[in-house]
Amino acid sequence: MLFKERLNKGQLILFDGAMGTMLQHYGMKGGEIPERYNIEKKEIIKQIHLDYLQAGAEVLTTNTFGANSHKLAGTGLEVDAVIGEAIAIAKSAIVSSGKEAYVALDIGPIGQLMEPMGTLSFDQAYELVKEEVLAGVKAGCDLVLLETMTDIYELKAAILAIKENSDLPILATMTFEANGRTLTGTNPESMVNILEGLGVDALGMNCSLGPVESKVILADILKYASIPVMIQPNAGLPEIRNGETVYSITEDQFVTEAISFAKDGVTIIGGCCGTTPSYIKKITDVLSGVSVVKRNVIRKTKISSPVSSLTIGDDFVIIGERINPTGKKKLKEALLENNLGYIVDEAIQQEKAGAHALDVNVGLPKIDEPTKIVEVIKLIQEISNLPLQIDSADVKALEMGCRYYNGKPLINSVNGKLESMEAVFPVAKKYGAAVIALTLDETGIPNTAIERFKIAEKIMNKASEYGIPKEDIIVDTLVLTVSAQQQEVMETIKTLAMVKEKLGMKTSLGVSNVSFGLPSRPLINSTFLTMAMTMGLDVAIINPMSKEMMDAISAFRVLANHDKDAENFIGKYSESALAEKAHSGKALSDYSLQEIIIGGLKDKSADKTREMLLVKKPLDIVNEDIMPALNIVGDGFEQGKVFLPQLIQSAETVKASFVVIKEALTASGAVDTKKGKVILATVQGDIHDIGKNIVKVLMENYGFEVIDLGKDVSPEKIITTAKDEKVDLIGLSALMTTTVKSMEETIIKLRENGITVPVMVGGAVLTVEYAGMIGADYYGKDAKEAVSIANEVVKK
Amino acid sequence: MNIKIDKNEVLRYLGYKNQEYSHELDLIIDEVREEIKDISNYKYIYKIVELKRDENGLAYIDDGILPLLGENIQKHLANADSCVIMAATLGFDVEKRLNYYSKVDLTKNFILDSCGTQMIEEVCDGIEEEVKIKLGEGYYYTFRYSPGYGDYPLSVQNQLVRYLDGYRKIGLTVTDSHLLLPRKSVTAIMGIQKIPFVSEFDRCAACLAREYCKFRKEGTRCYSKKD
Repeated sequence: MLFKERLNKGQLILFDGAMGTMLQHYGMKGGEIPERYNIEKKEIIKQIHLDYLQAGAEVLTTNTFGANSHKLAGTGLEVDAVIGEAIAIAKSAIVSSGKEAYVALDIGPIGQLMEPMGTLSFDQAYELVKEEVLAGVKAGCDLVLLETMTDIYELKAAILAIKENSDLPILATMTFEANGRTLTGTNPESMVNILEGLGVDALGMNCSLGPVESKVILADILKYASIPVMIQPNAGLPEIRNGETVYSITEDQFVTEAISFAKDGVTIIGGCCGTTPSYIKKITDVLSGVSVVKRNVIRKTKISSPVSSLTIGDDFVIIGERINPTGKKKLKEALLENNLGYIVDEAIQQEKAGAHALDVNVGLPKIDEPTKIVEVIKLIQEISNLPLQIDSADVKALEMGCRYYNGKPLINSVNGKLESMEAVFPVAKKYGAAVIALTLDETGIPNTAIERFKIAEKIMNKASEYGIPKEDIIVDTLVLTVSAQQQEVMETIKTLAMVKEKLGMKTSLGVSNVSFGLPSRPLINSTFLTMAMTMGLDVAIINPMSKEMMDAISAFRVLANHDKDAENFIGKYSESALAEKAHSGKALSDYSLQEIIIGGLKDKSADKTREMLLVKKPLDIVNEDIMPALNIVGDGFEQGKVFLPQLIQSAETVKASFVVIKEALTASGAVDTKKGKVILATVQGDIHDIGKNIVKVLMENYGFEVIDLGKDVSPEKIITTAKDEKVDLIGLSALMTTTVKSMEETIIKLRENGITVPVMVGGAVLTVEYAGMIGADYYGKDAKEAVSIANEVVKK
Repeated sequence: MNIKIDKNEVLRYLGYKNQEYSHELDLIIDEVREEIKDISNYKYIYKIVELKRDENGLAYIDDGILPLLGENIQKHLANADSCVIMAATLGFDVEKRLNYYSKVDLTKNFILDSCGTQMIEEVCDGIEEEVKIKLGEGYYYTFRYSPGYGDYPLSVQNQLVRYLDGYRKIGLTVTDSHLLLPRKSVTAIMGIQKIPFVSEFDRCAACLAREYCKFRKEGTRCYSKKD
């Protein structure tokens, strides 16, 4: 029987217990590579498998937890051989035992942090797992067990690597901390939502906690999961006794807990650290052949980021629409100039304003959309925990966005055209995305509600052919402009009600188009939104900075009994709350811009600059107010009178002023001339970037265009950028003595590739002599000096 | 564990030399000291291991793979009978917040970084305390010695983390260039001995940066004063 059939047989599946614990029992020491035993001490591995088979385990887990080429690097061991042998040993144990059992290729975490926190990219993680899977397929394993995972993004890469390179069933388990989250912050709800979307065969938890501590987390997993659930707990919590790790739970206690897991509806039970064949024997004695307890899980419409999930249909959902260049000049510029700071700011502002998810659209004629959307998604996910809506007319961009998004995304959008459905649904299915479905098709947007309803139904049925449940479709009944098609506005609302009632699907609308061409647009928008909400609208895709719309939603939530006891409403609108908002701090007029800059009052500088622009020219403000203040702070820092954090604050204050100045310059048609172009990068191998970031903000203040390549930057990337961008100066930073070596190599490669641009270096361990030794042209001892050097270089 | 994020130390990391600074900034520093306590889910592991001696009297560990390479670490452990091998991290959330601030608030980024440096030191102090209480009277201890000090190679980091099963137990990883991630993490070896510890190891003498160290120029040291 294939493992997939076995999984659906409705009978508990009992796994083996710990491999590591057994290896230690057989003499393995701390720091040894367990996988070496597959080659050098096969008999031990075989004996462990035999012991578990005798104990009644139905699935053997291979000794390959760390068998990826990252972990095996430098050990002389090869992935293919280690995995091939591991599977062969397990199979031979099964033959020797005369029993029937499955062989699960065990894949543990790679052991590197993924980007953006760490240095391991999604594609690298994918390739590492692919190599393991191909070896597993070759050696003939029956399934893959992804276990002890802490990072859902790594898990996503692994699942894709398995699915795209084999037909093997996938079981995926994560390890949770006592606070109910994995080390990287994923909670059970998000895990279930993301993994089910990606189409694993079973999911669950292992390691970390003992069976008792696991209960609360398991209950959550069981509550949400509509596929089989698996658990492999440790034998209690680890305790260190005489330097050795021991586990606190007896075999009998473990079995008692295992029985209760089975009663709760778990399908697969095994053991992790500290469990031995005798634990497993006790479990199989009572649970072998026992039927799986059926659970009744209600599916919901839900999208997820790695750390939080958003259920659509419970409470009203606001999706921020601002990261979309259509009709937004500043965002267009930001995307074209790669001004990522602007996008970060848009994301943060929308989140602060109350958005529950963010739309991301980067569609512009001159932009390589599939590449750009991935870049922007990664950027936003670095600074916001909100789930994202991936928005594009280009299916390739949707696919790339879904692939590299960390979580379960929402696609915007599909429509009733066959071509659209045939292009979008395979992507949605593969990556487990929810989809916004527009009620239009080959014939255009129907005038009547009934026709739009029929399109919604058609889309639902087509989705189901692809295995996409209706919970993953959110119907957008399309807002038309009231000034052009007045008689049809109510049709949108009627369709919405029909879709909700007859199809039981969730609905969304992009609201603001309705008022186009009319005065007092906010009034029309918020009234229309209220009408739609009353008829059951679940999601509005709007500008969360729009006061009128947010007000309408706040009031609606009270009236619809979502905002219990009007708690949020009172918090936001009571007289005291409003008064507090009005009187935060001293008034603007109490300060001059110079005082604001010197004092580092960065939340005041933009408004103050705007106020001054009413009476003063932008460049005069720069020369007469901003620069003198900046120089006072900079000189003070050089003389040791100004404290470094104060310098940074002032620099950031100036930055906020410059955003306003730039707007004014652009509006007046003046060109914002830059002094020169500078590349900044923390060299390959180094992950410390604070110093570089300080240099960046100060350089920008002094009028340089800075191309910030980030940290851990390869020489190749610097070379390519230097060639493409015609820069005046390259600034490299490295904090550690070990990475100064990398700095030197970078400079050598730059020169070898014919880049003659001056190189400036900086970092804690550098000196002017040391800088000269490694071939740098300049040494910037601090951010202020870096600016002086840049000034000097562009003057030449 | 008593974690207080000593403000004087934080200021030292921030480069404070009695400059005047604003009350607002002072508030931010205190705010960030609280913030890091809230978000950090610090974790640590350690093992107390017996040190064996080879025919040349060099110390080694025989219950696992962790080489004690180089003259400096050997001198450091010259009189030690056993040692504590430890690893500690402030966890993923601090790392994440550092990255967040690096994109949206550089001032807080710098302050959080300094608070993190101080906090992980305090966690290590806490481990020391725990060991001292556990072992009771009659022992002396060396200071904590980390890979990368003197001639003890940074590459040992990989073996040390593997030796303690640091990834699985506390989520500690090592980059290809042997740096710890999350960044606010420490690994160290501390000798335990029966006679008082007199350091033959001048931390600065073994440091590659000594010639041009900004702390030394100012008559201070990069490590905490009490060591």
